[in-house]
Amino acid sequence: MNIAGNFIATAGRVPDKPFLVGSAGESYSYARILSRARRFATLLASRGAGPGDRVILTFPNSVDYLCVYLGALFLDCTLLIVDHRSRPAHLEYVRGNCQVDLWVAPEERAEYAHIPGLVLFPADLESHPEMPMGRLCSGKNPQALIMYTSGATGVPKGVCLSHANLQHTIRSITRWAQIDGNDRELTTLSLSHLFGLAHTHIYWTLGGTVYIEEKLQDIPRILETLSRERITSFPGTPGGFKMILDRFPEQFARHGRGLKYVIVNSAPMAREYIEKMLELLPDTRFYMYYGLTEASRSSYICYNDHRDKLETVGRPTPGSETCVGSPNSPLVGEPGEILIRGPHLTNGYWGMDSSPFFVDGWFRTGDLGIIDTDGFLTWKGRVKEQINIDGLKLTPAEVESVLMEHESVRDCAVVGGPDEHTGETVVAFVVPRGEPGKRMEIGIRKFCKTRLEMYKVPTKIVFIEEIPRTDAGKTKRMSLKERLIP
Amino acid sequence: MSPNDLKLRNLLVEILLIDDEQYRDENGPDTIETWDSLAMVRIATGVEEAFDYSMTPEEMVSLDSIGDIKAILRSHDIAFDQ
Repeated sequence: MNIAGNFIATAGRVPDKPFLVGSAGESYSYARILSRARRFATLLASRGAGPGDRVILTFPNSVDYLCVYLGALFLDCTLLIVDHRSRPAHLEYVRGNCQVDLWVAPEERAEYAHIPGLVLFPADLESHPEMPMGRLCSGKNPQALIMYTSGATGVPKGVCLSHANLQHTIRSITRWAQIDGNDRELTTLSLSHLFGLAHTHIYWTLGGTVYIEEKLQDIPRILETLSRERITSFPGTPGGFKMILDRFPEQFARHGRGLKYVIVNSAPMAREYIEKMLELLPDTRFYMYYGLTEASRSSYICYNDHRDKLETVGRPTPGSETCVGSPNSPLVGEPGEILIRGPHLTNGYWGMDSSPFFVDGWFRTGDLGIIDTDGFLTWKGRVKEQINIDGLKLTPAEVESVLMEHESVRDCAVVGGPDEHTGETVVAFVVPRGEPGKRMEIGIRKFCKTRLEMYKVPTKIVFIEEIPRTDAGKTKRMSLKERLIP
Repeated sequence: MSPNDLKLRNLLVEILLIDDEQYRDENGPDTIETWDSLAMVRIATGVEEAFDYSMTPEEMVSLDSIGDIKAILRSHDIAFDQ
């Protein structure tokens, strides 16, 4: 079933309930969003869009964006969500790779002017007629989304996700996070990525309310909104929560105490911050989950219930399976590649042979992990990010987790740098607390020496002001490695 | 402490991550756990950069202590405290 059908059902059930609230406080009921999305569907159909057509959406977080999103899903189009800050070359690549005719944006931008097929979000949307209800969600196209991976290490790949994949994820999260129609979520997550989008699918299925912020900016105001609007759910990235916990812990504790839960995803979170969150919000359930665009929400944990497993990302979500190494002889207590299977799994990448990414129906994630005897998974990094010190291998994540325990380290990222003796050497980029210098560098390296094998201890520490990361919170390691080239 | 001692101590602290008080002539691979073969190579490279003297492979493999490093450098007219 088309996930936009869930929205139609909810709009029929609770038409007057607020679905979306914008950052300026403007509220939109389910009935109003349904009306606007139907009007946009009419506009899009007039440009020739229909079932199975691929349409690019490139919007910042906004109410208009979700109207466009729903309107295009009503027509059974397959949507390609491209971050509105993407470079024109990326949009052109996606457009060419997926043979897309139409792309929708909120406004014209000079650098995109040469790309044909633009449909502007109209200022006079209300003047377009609503598409008849009987023509919505025909069920003629099982494919819902094609999400392009960042391509930080190669050519971007279009991850195909069906309505069935997304419906499974909605059911799964609803079950393990115990979300219901009374919940009110405040999201600062980019709705160009699956983490934020999937939460929106859940809320429109259950009849909840979503407060949309374009990004995590003006944190004091956002924290005040948590208490003023009696928000119950506040999902975020580890980097975002780290900023809040570092700089606004008292405000977070004061305004966040009514939160039913927080959910973290996208990257590992340092133990120190997990403990801090549990201490600050003792009555809030703190969920972490692990997944990829190809296999969203594959494992989860509620740290309140498993305080002895804070380094893990939990056990498989309902309906999914994970193993390490090989499906036939899975590893326990030893590192290996994480494999995932389940109804949430992509059926492959658009326009390419996806068979190398699958083995016996299991998806090869490219992530390294360890499953303990209790079945809890610990994420250890990317297989391709491994640093090779003259044959001895390590992942950046294991060094980064140690670095983050040091009092002088506000943030960090580890990469392999060139070394004339060993091929590669461990280099740490550190955002310092306090005055950086040789004394701090030696102190941090000595600290690492007490917790890591010597070959894993950074031989060099580069102090920088900020770790470059993607919007999804992933470290841009290539960008850091480039700084090491003489 | 002479300038050359200071320079060598800082070099060894950086490579071996030792404490200042471990900078003693008798300390070497047997007493400093981080002094492995790779550290040996890094010490030789560091000495070359800091003192403008390139150790021969024979000198490198004969190093058994911090005192040995000083002895080699002294034999090339680089002065250290007694």
